[in-house]
Amino acid sequence: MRKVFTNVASQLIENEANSALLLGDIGVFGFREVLSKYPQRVFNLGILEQSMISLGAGLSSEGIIPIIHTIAPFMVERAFEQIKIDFGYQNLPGNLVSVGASFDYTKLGCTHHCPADVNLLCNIPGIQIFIPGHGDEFQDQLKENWSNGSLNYFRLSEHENTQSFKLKAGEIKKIKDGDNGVVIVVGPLLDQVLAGTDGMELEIHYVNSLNFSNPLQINSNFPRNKVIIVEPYYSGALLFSLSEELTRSKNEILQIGVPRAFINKYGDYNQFLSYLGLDAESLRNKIREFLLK
Amino acid sequence: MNEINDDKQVRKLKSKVIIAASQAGEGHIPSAFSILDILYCLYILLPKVSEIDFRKQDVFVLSKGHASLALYAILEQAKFINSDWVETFGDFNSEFGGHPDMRKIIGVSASTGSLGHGLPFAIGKILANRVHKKKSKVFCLIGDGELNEGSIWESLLLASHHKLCELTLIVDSNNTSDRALTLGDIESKFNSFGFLVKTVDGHSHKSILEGLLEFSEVKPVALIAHTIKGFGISEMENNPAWHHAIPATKDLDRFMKELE
Repeated sequence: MRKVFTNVASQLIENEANSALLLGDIGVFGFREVLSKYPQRVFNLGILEQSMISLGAGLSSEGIIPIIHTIAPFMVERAFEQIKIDFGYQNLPGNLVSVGASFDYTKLGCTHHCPADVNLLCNIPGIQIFIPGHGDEFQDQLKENWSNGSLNYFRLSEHENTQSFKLKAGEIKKIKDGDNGVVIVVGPLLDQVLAGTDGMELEIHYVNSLNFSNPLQINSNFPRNKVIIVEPYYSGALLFSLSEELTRSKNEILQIGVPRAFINKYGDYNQFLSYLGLDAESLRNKIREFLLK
Repeated sequence: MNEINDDKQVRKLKSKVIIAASQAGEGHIPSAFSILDILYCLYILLPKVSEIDFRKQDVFVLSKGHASLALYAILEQAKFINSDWVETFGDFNSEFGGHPDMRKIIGVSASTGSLGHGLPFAIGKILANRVHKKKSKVFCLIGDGELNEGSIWESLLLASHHKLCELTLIVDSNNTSDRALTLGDIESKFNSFGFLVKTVDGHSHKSILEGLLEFSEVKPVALIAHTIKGFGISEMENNPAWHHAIPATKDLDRFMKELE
């Protein structure tokens, strides 16, 4: 997805005179051409996330829409108040594009993990959150939404699904029928869910963006009133953004996400998935147990 | 430059600040009095001797938003807003709160209140103006206590690195935060960060105006304005007890008399 970001953001800079790109000293090599060609709109600002966010909001207040890019915890957690006040409270449009997701930097330790980002940001009224599960999805999302008048957060991941889906912002897509229960899965965990639920006759829905102003509408009869929500971060945000219909219809809900504990391990992504209970087999076991209850 | 003395005008504005705060039971009066002479020079005197025009191309960001009462008083004096602010300050449906809201008030360019946000926001405005090829000055006022914030020092680096000659950063240096953290020689610090530094008496209109006219082709300007918090009411001056205190009814006559 980072390569897609480099391409799409560079195209936006080339084609849209009211776009700007702010880098927190990452991705600089990939953007070297636009950095040298558009020095008034493309900046490697350095490692100063708080100022980078406020500066981006200042650009936005004068009609230049920023795309701000750095590693997730440094942008979202360190500069959360700048995001909240300077963009959120002042109702200014802009784009935050993070890398690292919950634990892409597996070997770098907890300082570079960010499973809290989505649940933190969903507290900012008006924000739209995009969690693409594939580079093609991100490409469409950024192109279609970079100047949509909102504050947008794009959560890039190193890991993507084998298949991409075309979804509008705030849309849930049913990708598999079944009568044993419903699974709603967010972004890059779709492949794990599909592998883990193979043969379980579950209705599977996919979502790659969250909209907290207009609740997501899910088209389902909720077979057996069993609903499983799978999120690639601390669970919670998706349930918060779903329509009341889901909770009104007496559904029993299982939420699966990154466990709320510091991950004091290194290793690789698959080891993390397994350790955190997010690999296909672990998901299968959790879901089977839930369905048997 | 001729000798300038508009103390009487500023004292009138201070009376309005006291009335507004007393009616609302809210407001940081001494912080407002610390900067009112600066704002008077910026909005009233500077446009008379330069091309500065806050209705058109130029921008002011009050980063120390808790001094909003001073901003409202000066915006009325400069005819951006009418006198309603005095009556409605802090009311449920008022446009005028303890910190300024850019979505509600014409002439307010940033919703500040959390310290350390205004300067990088102002820098963003300058960079946008460069894209638009708009010739504009951006003035930003921070408190010296605000210099405790790391984001300010980040932004000083940015302002210097990008040679933001459009920026005049005014530091309201009233030393009241020294009790927590002494800042030492601010002038040297700004010098070493690549600013053109000018030190002024923050209650002398002549001195302030000379500072506001400072300009460099290659550097941002830092105006270190030495001020007295609560200036104009002897009981409030440099008295931390008044930082967020509201005068009792029995005090009002005395304060108003001192401001006459």
